[in-house]
Amino acid sequence: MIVIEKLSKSFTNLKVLNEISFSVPSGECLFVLGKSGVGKSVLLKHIVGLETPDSGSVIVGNKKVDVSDIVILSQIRKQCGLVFQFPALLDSVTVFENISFGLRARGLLKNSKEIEIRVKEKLSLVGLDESIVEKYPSQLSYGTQKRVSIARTLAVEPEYLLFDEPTTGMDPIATTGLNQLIKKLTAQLKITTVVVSHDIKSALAVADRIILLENGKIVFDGTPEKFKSTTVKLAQEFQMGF
Amino acid sequence: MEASRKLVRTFGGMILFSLECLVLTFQNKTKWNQVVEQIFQVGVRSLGMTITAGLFVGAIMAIQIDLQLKDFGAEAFLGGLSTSATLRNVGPVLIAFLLSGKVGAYTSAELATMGVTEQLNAIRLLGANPIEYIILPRIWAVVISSFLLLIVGLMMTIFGGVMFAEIIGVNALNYIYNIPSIVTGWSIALSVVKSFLFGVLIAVVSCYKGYYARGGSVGVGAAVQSCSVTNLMLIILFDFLLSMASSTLQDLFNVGYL
Repeated sequence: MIVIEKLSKSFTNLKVLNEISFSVPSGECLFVLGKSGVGKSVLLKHIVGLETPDSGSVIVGNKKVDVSDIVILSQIRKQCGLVFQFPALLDSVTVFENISFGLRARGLLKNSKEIEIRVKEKLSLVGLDESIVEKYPSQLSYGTQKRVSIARTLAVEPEYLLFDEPTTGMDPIATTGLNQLIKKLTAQLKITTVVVSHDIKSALAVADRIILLENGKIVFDGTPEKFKSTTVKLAQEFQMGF
Repeated sequence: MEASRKLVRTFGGMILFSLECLVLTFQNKTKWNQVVEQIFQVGVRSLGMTITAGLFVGAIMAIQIDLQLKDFGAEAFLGGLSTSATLRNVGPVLIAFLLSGKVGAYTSAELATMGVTEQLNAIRLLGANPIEYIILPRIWAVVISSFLLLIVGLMMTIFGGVMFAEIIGVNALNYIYNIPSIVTGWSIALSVVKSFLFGVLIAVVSCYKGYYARGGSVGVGAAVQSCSVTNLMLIILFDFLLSMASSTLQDLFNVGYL
């Protein structure tokens, strides 16, 4: 379970998050929607301790995220997997080394055969062929890089999966594939998933619950069905855009 | 006031950053196979430029000193004076400037790009320390490469001087024969110390500026610009400080001034 309590964050004079509170029960797939620059990515970064809140707190599992406590932070990060908006693959190493990076760094698997099996298994899970393992990220299309990035995050088998704008820059077929993958992961592996996005189509297709952010506040919190019938102006605008 | 605060913050940050790298090195966290890889990336590929620059720096110094010596009819001292001035000061500074542009800018741009594309954050979240995995190999590669390139460059300055001497009719053997009469062990030691220190400066500044870059492509540009300016300023500042220190020590131990 992830619990966000009265979380506030400002950059210079702009208050991006204003006392936001919500929780994500285990196994739920939550979509956080909002316009660009509303603080969705900042919210995700707070969960893994890449940002420090001005006030409020974030609890992952039963641990409070505290960037000054390296031991706790490291334990929380081991539980979480964040797929960044951009693939964020290491340019200088191959796909195989990228996917196996977390396994080696965390010492999860030491046997090279086991690592190889895990890498191939995760590649297959994201719909990629194992023939790309020796390629470098620059030799892959953007969509493929994103899938490799997801495979890298899944390789360490996190309890909480966080996606930052997962469908940005992907074609409609790849987007549908990714949505199905998120759905599969939540349903089969019971992974708690938080997706920040402005892709309303994906949210309606995949989410168990949707939160809508506007001016640093939550203006909607409910199921996709409720989202379709809400009178919240921004929610209606999102649906009209869709 | 804000500028002074920023300056203190930057240099304080650089010192802490260097200390962290030093501590990790003593904890045996350096991945030396990656250091070798990086030496090829930043060092070997800069060899041609360093050799060319060294030859021309040596020749330029010989031209300038020859012009002065002619007035006194003291051309016989060309080899010693030109080599001494080049080794002690002009050579290390000019070659360090060139390396800060090539090696320093490359390193800071690479690290800044890794930062703004979240590669460094990805490493953190996957359970590794980016300083250990990314920075340490680069710092050591840049220190080692810059030091070795500076030494190669300085040797080339001597060849450049000899070649120019031949062109203007000064016998090359006379030129070389005159070098040990003026260039002392002190001059060579000072040159080596400067080369090592400039190598460390280029490595720390470029890695620090790249690692802490923020704000997309604009941030990468700003990091590279700031890295170049800081490197140039620090090279000049440390050249001055080392020259002063050397002069004071030479006075103290009475080892001559050339």
